[in-house]
Amino acid sequence: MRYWLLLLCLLSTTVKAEAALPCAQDDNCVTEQKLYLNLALGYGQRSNPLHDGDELPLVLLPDIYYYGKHWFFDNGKLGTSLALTNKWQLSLIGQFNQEKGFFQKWFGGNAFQFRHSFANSGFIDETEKDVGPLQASVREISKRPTAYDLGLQLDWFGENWRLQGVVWQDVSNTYQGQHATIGAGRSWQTVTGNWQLGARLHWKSAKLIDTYYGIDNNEPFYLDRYQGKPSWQPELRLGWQYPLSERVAVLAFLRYLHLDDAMTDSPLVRTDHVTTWFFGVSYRLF
Amino acid sequence: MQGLWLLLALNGIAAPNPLPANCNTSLCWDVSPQICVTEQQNQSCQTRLQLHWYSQTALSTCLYMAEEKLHCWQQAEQGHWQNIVSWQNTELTLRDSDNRILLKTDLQVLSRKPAQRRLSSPWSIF
Repeated sequence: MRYWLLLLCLLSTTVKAEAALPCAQDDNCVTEQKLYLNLALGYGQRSNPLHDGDELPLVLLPDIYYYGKHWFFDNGKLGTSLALTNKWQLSLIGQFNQEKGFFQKWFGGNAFQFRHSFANSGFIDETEKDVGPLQASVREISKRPTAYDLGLQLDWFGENWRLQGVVWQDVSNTYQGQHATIGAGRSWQTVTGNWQLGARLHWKSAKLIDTYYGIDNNEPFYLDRYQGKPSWQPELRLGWQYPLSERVAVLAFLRYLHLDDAMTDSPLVRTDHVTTWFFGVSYRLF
Repeated sequence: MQGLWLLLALNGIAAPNPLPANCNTSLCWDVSPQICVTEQQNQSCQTRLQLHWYSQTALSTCLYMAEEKLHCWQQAEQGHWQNIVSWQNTELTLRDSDNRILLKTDLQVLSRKPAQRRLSSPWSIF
């Protein structure tokens, strides 16, 4: 913890020498000291891999970010960054751990959504049949904690390519573990609109998996015990935007996150994937 | 010191003969500078802009920056103009008495600190 704080202080002082990276005029460019707020209205869903976990209907999505001279806020991430070269950028970032979003109705971005449950709708996911009786409902277990992570992110920017690596550490003394992500993304423009394709690989430590998906002796006695293991989770992301005017665009995205055995072995987990999709119209307020 | 003298000497040679170089048409001009570099994005450029135009026939012309008239000449074969002006990305035009565009040059403003790159994916709150 103390090393992270030391690093934060170092970055805060050296960031004054930062030189902004060159950026082509596209959606990934931002002007310093300008607040951006986009709202998208449409429909989509994020699935919930937990037994009795509510799927998250996506209706109104915010996209909010501000990059100041020395710090930035971007969709829940607060950080400071340092340009190492024209193509490399190092950032120190803090954000709430996203894992709790599957367990709690009003958490992070979920607060913007109108939730309802499909638990009693009669709809049964095909993958649910394989789970068997050794399952635990999210409603039976104790409350999962809210954690805050500090991360060190390294970005490389090519003309249309982007590589990213980020390592996170729990600094709230909650799950006392780490997680990390490496990813590559490409964007291109065609007459059909602007496309983004990305692939990521997430690693989550045993302590993180155990805190959120483990079943220990504090849980009801009739549930199977489960001790978390490190988890590897590959993810694919496809995004599309078709600008209609300077402020209005049609937008869609599809994300697929695969969950490995470390997750699916947990009695809490129902499926081996999380899918997120959305289709709507976005409006740039400012 | 020697460098300073060299600069002055070059200036002295260049100033009295501002005719446009490589002028192969009946009407042409030199505009300087055409690109201005500012510290920040969206900052206006304030600098001394100078131009010289040359024609094989006498013309009545006016100089415009975007739609703002800056100067006019009556039945002249050449003209020189300079002033300190403020501009963002715009165009400089020389027009005849019927407002037809005879010459046009884009004036560009580049910033030393171009836009930052965004470090998160759009719509990444979920």
